[in-house]
Amino acid sequence: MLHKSRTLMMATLAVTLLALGCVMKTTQYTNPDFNFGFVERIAIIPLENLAQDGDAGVRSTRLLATELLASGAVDVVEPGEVTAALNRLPGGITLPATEQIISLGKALNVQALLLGTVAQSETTVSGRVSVPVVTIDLRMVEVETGTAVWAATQSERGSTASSRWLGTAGEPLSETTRRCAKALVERLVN
Amino acid sequence: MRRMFLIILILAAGHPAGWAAGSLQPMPPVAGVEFSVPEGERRAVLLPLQDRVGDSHLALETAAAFRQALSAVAFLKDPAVVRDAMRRLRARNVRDISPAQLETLFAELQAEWLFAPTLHEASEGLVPTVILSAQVFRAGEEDVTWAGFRSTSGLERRRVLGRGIEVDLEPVLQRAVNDLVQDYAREALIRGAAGCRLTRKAHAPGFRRESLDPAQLGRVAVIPFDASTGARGAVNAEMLTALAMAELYRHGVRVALPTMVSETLRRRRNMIPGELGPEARLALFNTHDVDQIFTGMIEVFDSQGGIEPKPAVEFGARLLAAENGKILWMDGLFEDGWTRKRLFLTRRTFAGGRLAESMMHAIVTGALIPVDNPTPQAAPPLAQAKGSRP
Repeated sequence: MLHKSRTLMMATLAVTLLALGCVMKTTQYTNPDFNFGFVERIAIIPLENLAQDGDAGVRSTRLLATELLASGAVDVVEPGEVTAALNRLPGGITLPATEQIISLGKALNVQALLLGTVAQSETTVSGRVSVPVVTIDLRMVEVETGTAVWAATQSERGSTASSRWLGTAGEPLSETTRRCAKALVERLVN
Repeated sequence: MRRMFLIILILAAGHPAGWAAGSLQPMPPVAGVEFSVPEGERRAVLLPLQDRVGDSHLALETAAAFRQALSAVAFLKDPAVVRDAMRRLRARNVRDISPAQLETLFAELQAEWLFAPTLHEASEGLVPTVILSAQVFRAGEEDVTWAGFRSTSGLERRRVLGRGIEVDLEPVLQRAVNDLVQDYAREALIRGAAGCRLTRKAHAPGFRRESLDPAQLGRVAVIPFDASTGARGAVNAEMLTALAMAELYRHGVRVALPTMVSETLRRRRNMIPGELGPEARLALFNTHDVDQIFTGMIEVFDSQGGIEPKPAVEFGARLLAAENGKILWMDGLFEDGWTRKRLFLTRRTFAGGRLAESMMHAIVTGALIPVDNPTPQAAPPLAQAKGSRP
């Protein structure tokens, strides 16, 4: 009996450690005064890329759009239309000011914009194992006043049990980014 | 059937002058082949090759290989006459001219169809790789008549103990050209010979709107893909655009002429890659009867060199309704050449173009899988998903 409970404890500990190894902490802010029912259509402004991986910004933006559409919670503006609207702004700004947020909202016929940053998108080496790590900061800005109504930071690490214990290749960076985007969307809609 | 094509190509190789000055040369008789296009309508023009490699010698060699292979299935126009006609239109690439200019070109050359090839990549390295694409435009038609794509490497025919490896670029290039022309003959010219050569399973779509019924898909315009970064971003984006056209054609989708798309975008000053304003979209819908728009972005296209190159490809694609700009389907994929490897390292892919082709096939198949009961459904507001939050 004692042996059984010890085995169970060890297994629970292993699963917990495994879970801690894959998922990292998140931070979130939600404006309690904002009525999210008002939001039916969102435009995603291409995420700023602070990572060394030059493709991280476009990859994360695309995956966020896919995950948001797949959630069924909101409609997402066609990215080509967002690019066209941004190019019409003086200087083709990717980080719009408050007035520009308001005018973008009118031009794109949306209730909110999603802006953000890919803070980290890299493959770190731990021993013999490559571990992809992705961190995305995302915020939703409503377009009537240009204030942030929701914000979250999400980090995901893409090592699998087999990669850690057997030294096999971990998941690709894009899969970790997809999980990170999915987690952010889940936090937004739930 | 393979033997039949081999006969065609052997006859083509032996055919002395498929492009004699100013005249249309008769095609050599090939027994047992039933063309779906009558002989009188097989007058073709091989347009100047679009070279994205920058090697003029290689471009000439590729153009000659195309001429040789095509002369087996069509009556080809003299290249000097074609060059003069293109020069008069001040056009280098037929995809960039207006539909009216295209009609002028058809009339001037008295041809039934134009074959427009592009050499996207040809690298020798340790293992030679080649990427080619081509589209065929037919007089009086507003859709692409045929679109094809081929990529190959020197390791494609590798057998036990390294036999069959091709280390020179020329035979690999010749094979890619022959395969592409064979695809054209099989899919567009020879009766009953069509069939998809790719067998990969569909990729489960990232997002597909429930109202999208692939059976009801109308005319689709392929907007040039965008490229994120990379030294050859624009070249890779053009390659993926050609690949998308080929894949949609293979699935039986009507693809709008690229000349029409480029003219519409140019007139609305929508020429920045990745940009698609509502004016251009509505112009495609209202003026050119385009029902859907297919576009996307290539994010990764590179290869770790070596004796066994490991290519890596990542791209996203989406299908929009031209009428209202709604995203109907959206998906993306990342794979490297070893993602689908099997036991004993079989099924590896060594050519980036081939990997991209396989991936595009998987995601387009996923987008176009028929649905049983398509039901239009509006996207619910965020509040429904967020519960009772004020």
